[in-house]
Amino acid sequence: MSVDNAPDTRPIPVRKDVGRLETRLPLVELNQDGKLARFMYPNGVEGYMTTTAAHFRAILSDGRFHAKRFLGEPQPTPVSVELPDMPGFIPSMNGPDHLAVRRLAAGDFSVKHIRDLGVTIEEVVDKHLDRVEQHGSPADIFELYCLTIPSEVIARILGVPTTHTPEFQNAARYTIGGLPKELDDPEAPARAIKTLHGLLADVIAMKRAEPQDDLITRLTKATDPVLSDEEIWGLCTNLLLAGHETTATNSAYQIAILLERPDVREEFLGHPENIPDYIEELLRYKAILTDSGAGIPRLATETVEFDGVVIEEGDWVMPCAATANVDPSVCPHAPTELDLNRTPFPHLTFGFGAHTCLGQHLARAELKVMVPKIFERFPGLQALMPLDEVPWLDKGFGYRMAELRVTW
Amino acid sequence: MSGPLSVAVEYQKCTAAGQCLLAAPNVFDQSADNGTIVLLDPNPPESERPRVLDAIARCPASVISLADQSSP
Repeated sequence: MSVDNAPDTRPIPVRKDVGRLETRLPLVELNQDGKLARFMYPNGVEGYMTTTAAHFRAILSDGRFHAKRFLGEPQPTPVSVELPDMPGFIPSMNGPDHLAVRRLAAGDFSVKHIRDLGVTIEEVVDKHLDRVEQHGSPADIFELYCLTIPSEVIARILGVPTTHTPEFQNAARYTIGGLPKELDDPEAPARAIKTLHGLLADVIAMKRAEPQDDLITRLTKATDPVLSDEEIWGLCTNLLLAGHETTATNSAYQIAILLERPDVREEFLGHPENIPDYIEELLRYKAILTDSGAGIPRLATETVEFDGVVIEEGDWVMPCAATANVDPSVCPHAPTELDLNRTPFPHLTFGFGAHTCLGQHLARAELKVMVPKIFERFPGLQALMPLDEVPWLDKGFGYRMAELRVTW
Repeated sequence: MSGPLSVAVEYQKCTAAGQCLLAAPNVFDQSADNGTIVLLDPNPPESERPRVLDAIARCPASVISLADQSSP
């Protein structure tokens, strides 16, 4: 097999307007040859990026490429998030150690467990709908609805007592930098992590003293491996962060699309039996967190010849779900268009390989309640500004919506 | 080929993503304890073939194989 010269490095075409309906990271146009692309990120770090579904799956299935999230090294990313390294943080673990810790939490995120959680999700969503109604029109539903539902649901899964939940949710919000009005304080994320540390240490001690039917109690009783309190804290913080900003932004984006496109809204709300499939297409259409070129990069632990490119030991490779999902070989018909009636296929928004999103069944369960219910409660719901003008932030794991102001 | 299929799983690779259960619920389940794959029926009828193949395609950790199927 012949090996081409390494592709030219160019600055990553970061789009600050990633939320615009017709905008996506223009990788599809840039990489018609289907090879790995090589980019220079805004922080000066270079790396490869996958541009096809096959490469996405191959990189994430190959044990020679390690996940190294939050280990203090400069990484290829267009966004900024400052987090200390935490023990028990599974996106930074690899191999059998990773699988063993991941499995300690996986039962609580299984298909069946999440089905059983359906009533809880409905209850949390209804409570937040009441809150939006009490606030009155106009309202920022990103803050009042999309951002707070996921952290409350995670709190319930972990077993955070209701007395501690508001502080837990508040800290959750600051871990990703807070809302636009709060962004002036660069120390806020580090302080929020410290708050979570103290709060979760209290909760872990409570569960050790009085075991209950919840995930933190199960983690305190784990034997293979046994987890220290520090590892339980890290893992719980990991689960919170992974399921918080992601579902907040995706739910807000899906609601925003329905507000923007009356045809899509009519189709979506008119066929409630198809909502699970519609949610899949919306997740495929905009893998919003990776559409900006963000994601969890992989580090080559040895030199690897990969489809005609030599990836040197120590090189970064960013798996890009946004380009994988519009790869014409898996999505042949108008892949960059939203088509709710597309035959569903397994999109790659939740990743692939050993680190495949652990909370994906939870995310789906939340989205299929959060998105339709806000339209049921407020039939006259309207966006205060076109989706193309909704502001986005680059503090977090990917670009995220800053606000979604609506009237009804 | 007719007759029952022969399905095998490599439990040690399982990453507990639950895709197999969604694709072929008659053949696979997920452990309530740790979310990993449970092979309910190692020899399902031929009629399960499309669903087992779907499970193989969706599995993010290449855990499942079908005996008469050349591995990808």
